[in-house]
Amino acid sequence: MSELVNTIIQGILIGGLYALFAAGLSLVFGVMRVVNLAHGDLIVTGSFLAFTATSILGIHAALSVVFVLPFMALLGYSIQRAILNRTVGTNVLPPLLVTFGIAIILQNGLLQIFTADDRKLDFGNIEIASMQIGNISIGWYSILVFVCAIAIIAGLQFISYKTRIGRVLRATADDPEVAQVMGVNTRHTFSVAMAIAMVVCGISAVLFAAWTSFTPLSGPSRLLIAFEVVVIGGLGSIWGTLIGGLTLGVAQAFGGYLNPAWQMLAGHIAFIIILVLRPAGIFKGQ
Amino acid sequence: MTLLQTHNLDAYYLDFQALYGVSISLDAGQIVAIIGPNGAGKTTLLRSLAGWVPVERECVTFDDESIGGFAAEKVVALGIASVPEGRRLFHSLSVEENLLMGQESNRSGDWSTDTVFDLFPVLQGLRKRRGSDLSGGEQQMVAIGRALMANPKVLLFDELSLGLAPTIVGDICRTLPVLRDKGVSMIVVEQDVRRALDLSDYVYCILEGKINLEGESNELAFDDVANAFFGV
Repeated sequence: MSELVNTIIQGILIGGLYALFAAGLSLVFGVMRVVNLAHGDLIVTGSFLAFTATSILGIHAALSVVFVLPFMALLGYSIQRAILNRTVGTNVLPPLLVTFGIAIILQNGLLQIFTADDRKLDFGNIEIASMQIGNISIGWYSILVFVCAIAIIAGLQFISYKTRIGRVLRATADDPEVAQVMGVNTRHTFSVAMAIAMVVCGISAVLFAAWTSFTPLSGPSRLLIAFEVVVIGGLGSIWGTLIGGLTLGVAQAFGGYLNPAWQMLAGHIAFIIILVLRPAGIFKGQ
Repeated sequence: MTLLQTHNLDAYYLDFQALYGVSISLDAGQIVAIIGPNGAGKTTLLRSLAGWVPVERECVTFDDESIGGFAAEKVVALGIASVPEGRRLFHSLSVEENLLMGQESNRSGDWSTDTVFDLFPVLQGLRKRRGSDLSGGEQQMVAIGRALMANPKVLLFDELSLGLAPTIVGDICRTLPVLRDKGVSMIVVEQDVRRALDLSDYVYCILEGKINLEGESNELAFDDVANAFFGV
């Protein structure tokens, strides 16, 4: 029994991280109507960047965010400004093709530089330390990841609803043409949205890099998780994204509890069930 | 003093030519009405002025500067704000947030959310409501307020009365002279000929992309305008 409770708590905790994967994807789709197929590979790029910074400079893995986040913001802004802005407002196909192309370039570029070896970021003792409540033990690192995820999602909510850039982003998402007539430079706004999404990716990239090992080809599986979370939670709701992440995390953990081989399968089944029952997501229309 | 002018303006939607050699002129402190049937090119004319439709540089002048084909965000920064057809409020933003979006052009001046609420007191109580929850008339007020927040010299007003209750239209028409007294010149697109003549100083009638009648509003005979409207 306590083993089951333990698994579910583990699921909830990793669910926060899944929500972070999805938050960036959801933001980019919400504002630009661009489905970013390179999203997972951008996360993996962030992980490799953290790995490089840590191994070259010999700093603690957590400190690598100092390099990763500005780099990801700049990368996101540049990709949007130089490439993706040319595809915004066309039909759905050009952004799909272009981001798919970026995904391939990133995967192969990383393979060239880092080879296909498994890498993992080392967060030190916190990775194995745990908190004991009765028969249940919860890893401190999982708790740290979950708290970070909640804080970042709350931060995104704050930016969206309490700041000028958030207002401009929501207005541009509603009607880019009219936003422009109000004086908004939409090309810049889109690029800022991508930069924010990439900062969120960067944080999840560092956290996930210590959670499990990664290779240059890990991107698509991250993308799949992000997609499933967005669909489960419903597009456009930041807290819905969190619920989506938790749902997927718990489903995977429960599947893994029944049979270790069923972990991913259980997540996909939960996704399909919700897609059938509530095609617009749990939070849509509320 | 001439504020905004078009010179032999041609405008296209893809391969389709919507305007043929249109020349209009707006003086400071003036209200100019554009009338004409559906599809005549009224909205295209306003969109050419606002930077939504690409046109030749020399075809539009504002304060003696050629601004044709400027991006919409540059046009509003110069002081030409728009109240678009169908209001087009940002539906997920509150009334107050919609108004604040009008400040994105960063023009300084007297207009603020407070002065807009003075002009349309009914909006005060609706501040926190979403744009999509309002009646058509309330939405039109927000759209006007949002444009005024840019502290414009010129207001481009597309389809003033379309889809609104007659009493609301009356209320909104009464605000136009108030705005003019505050130094805002206006180009108003209006389908109702009589109302257009009433509220404006000068009228242009457009048919099939060309101006076929123009004149001082108080000197034009209603029948002449009506004939021009239908191309008789």
